[in-house]
Amino acid sequence: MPFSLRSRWTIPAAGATAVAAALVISPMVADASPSLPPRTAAELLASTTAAADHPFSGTVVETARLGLPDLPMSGAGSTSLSATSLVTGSHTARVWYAGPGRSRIALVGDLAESDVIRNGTDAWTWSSATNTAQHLTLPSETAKAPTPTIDVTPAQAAAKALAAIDPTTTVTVEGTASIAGRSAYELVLAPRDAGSLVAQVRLAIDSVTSTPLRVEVFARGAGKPAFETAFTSITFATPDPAVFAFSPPRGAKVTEQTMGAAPAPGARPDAAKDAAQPTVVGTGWTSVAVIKGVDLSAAGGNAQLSTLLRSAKQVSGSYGTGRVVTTALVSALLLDDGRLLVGAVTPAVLEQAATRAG
Amino acid sequence: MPADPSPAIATRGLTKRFRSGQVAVDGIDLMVPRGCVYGFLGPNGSGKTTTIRMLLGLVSATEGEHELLGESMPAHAASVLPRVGALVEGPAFHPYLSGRANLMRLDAGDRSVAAAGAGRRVDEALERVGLAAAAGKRYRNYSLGMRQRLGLAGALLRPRDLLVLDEPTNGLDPQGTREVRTLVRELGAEGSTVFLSSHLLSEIEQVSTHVGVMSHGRLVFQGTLTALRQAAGVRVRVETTRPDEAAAVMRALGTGTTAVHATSGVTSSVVADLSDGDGTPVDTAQLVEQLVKAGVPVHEVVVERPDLEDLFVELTGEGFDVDQ
Amino acid sequence: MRSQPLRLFRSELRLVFGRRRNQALLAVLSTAPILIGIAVRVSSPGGDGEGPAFLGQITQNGLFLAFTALTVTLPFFLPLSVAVVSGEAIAGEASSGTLRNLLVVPVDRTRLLLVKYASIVVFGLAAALVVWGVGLIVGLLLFPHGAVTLLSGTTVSFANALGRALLVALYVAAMLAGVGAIGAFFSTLTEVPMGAMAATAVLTIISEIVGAVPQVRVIWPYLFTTPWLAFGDLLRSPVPLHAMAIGLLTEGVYIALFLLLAWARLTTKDISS
Ligand SMILES: Nc1ncnc2c1ncn2[C@@H]1O[C@H](COP(=O)(O)OP(=O)(O)OP(=O)(O)O)[C@@H](O)[C@H]1O
Ligand SMILES: [Mg+2]
Repeated sequence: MPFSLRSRWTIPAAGATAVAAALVISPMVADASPSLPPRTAAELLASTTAAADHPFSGTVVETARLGLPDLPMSGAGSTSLSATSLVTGSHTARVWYAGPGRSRIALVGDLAESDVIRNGTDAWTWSSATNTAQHLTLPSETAKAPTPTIDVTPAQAAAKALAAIDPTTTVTVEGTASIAGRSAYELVLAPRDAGSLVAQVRLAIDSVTSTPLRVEVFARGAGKPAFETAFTSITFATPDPAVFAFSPPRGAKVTEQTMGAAPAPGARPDAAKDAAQPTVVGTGWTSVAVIKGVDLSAAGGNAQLSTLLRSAKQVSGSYGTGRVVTTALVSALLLDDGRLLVGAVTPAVLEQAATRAG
Repeated sequence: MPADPSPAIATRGLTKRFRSGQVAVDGIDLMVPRGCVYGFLGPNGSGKTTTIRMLLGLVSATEGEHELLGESMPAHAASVLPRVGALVEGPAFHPYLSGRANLMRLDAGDRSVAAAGAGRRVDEALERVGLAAAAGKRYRNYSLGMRQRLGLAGALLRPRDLLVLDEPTNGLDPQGTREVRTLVRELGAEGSTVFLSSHLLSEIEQVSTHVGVMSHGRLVFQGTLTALRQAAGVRVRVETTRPDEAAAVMRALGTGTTAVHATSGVTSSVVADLSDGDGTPVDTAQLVEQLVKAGVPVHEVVVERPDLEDLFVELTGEGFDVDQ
Repeated sequence: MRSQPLRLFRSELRLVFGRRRNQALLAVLSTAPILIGIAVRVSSPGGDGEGPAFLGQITQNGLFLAFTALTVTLPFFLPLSVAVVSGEAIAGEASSGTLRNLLVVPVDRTRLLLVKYASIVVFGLAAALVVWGVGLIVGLLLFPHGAVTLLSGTTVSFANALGRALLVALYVAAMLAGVGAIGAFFSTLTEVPMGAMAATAVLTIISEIVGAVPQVRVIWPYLFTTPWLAFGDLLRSPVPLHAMAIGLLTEGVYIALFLLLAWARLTTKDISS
């Protein structure tokens, strides 16, 4: 009898073990590499660039580990959904795609949502937190052209990576992966230039539709990707057209803009905007963006930025003096003359660029 | 009721060793026949309540086994316990519910009765313990005696074959004590077996047919009340001016322990057990005759039947400290 | 005899809801939407982006008061009230000694645990519905109502939004059932109800703190508090079910494990009070 009573505890213990086992095994099953017929890098690249537009809808999770300071998040509804918040932490977006002129990305936050909707010649942005909408009317000939939006979908990120393929890159196919329940080839792009902070970019390409399902960017010497965006679920079917039909809700602040027409006077009272148009120095993996006239006192209120700057290292050279901030994937050099150089490169490359652009 | 060979309570080597290492109940073999009123006696801390908890399956026995109404416990608790009414270590109820609501809750837990009769069962039980008038009062406003009565009512919610009552007269006034005594006799007369614990022998003596005596976790006596009385033994006291001669005569007649006590005044008293334990008791008439024949002046002869209280103290040990 | 198994459950519900302390808990919870509603009403409109989610929308649509009140009470007040009731469940009966009465009736220990847990779940549901219902009534009394703008910017009818709000309350109740299972387990460990209540509340708060520290992001998916705010997905169009399904699964696993622990403890425990 004492034994049978004591043995009752083995039942919750067995339950806990089963849960732990499920937690350990299920990612292993999900990660198991599917076996697919071998393909060369060239075949894969060709199929990707020639990939027919497959309509789909799915959920994408983007994770950045750039080595920026993490700050505890406060209570509900505070998650900001601005594009800059994408450089830290993990974010979820819902994506619908019905063709070049019809797409929607919803950046999902706790009790908040930011949407970018493209429906023919209408483009909308919507932010639930501020209750604001922007309406952009595009010229009719662009109705089928892709929308320039933030690089959150694997398709957009892959397109960028593929554009960077030039003699400075080694391209290989390294095995297969299973992503969102689909089998994919892993295409690996590795920069040859040691000045790049990027060790490799891995693209997982759907074996059937050639749609990129995951993009991982590895920094040099890092075991985990510094930036990763992947579908957690995807369905290849044309989404419900209602998804793309957006009309601004009653009570929302709506800004109207027509592409090509000059912005209405006073619509964007942002004088610094023109001064901050970047120029690009260098090519490929080691290209550096140079922005002039950056005034840091304007950003004094931003806690995250001032924390970053406090940790910055003082540098000087023939280009002048300044401070350099290095993260896993991006370096920034802020010169005292107001120039800001940013690139996925080592600080040395930034300093060279500063000298050359001087 | 039909004669059932199986005893109401039977335990074999029932033992409880608490995690502290203390042995509260040490291998007891209870035997409670059907239909009897069994007085379970013992000083504070002797293990009565712990035994009762084991009998009802509240506490698991470290060793040993037991049966209630012929079925082994705790395996058959679901079928046995509905036939057992219990009051364990005083009453315990929800303070902010009325007495009636508290009993309704207990009735609701009983799967073996129909919901329809709940109100009637509860009212009858309240009536039986004399609480009908205070049924609607919150339990927190009950006096100690009312609480004890409500506890009894809980045990009497339905006709029971066995009642296990742990110190049911605790906190009752003399009148309440007498009522409980009457109640226990009635229950016994109705055919229920009553297992009644107490540290007061006088109480047990008045209602019980059988007695078990606990001391330091052990069952030091078990049997009928008559057997207990016999075990107590009868003594004779002789007042005389010549004690030593008297003692010699008494020893010659075969008395048990014989001792001389000096008393005040001229006489001394000689006290002797009328039985030495194995022989037949000495006849008092013959003793007086022999004393007179021997020329011993007899001032007074008293036959003493020591009350059970003394025996109880003898069995369980004297002293103010509780068993522990 | 068919209604037999429910008798004890009904008695348990009467005990939980008849208790003044628990009624006071529900009353305190109902003040949350009332206070928010009055505060928003008397303060000047505007000030968007500040404060809890949906606060800005309340002045346009009273229905949002129900959402705001649930959002505000979910991190602390709702789990606290469930912690109180669940911590009380077994430990309360043990401390008053009534546990031994029930067990000798006899009430099977497994059945007692299930009945107790079911009544905790019902109390959690009632708490969520009180916040929701009072929020709805006060919102509709103080503010205009009509079609509702979802997080996705889509506008739906008032009836549609009301249905979504009810689902939100049900989801919140399911999340609170997880707290209730933890509380029920702690309640089997002690005879001091306050101890079980405090342990449950503290564990909930620790889980929420851990869930806000990005350095330990890897364990976030395993915390029982992480999926709580996923109810926001009911206010998107189309409604994504994945996060809420994960949330229900997480709570389900917690409930199963803690109820098994509570069962193992209660059925082997010596009742010596
Ligand atoms: N849960 C427990 N843990 C440790 N020891 C205990 C426990 N319950 C009882 N005891 C000890 O067991 C012994 C017997 O206690 P029990 O309550 O059975 O005595 P009792 O005969 O009922 O006394 P009383 O007449 O005072 O009610 C006591 O020494 C007590 O301290
Ligand atoms: Mg006792």
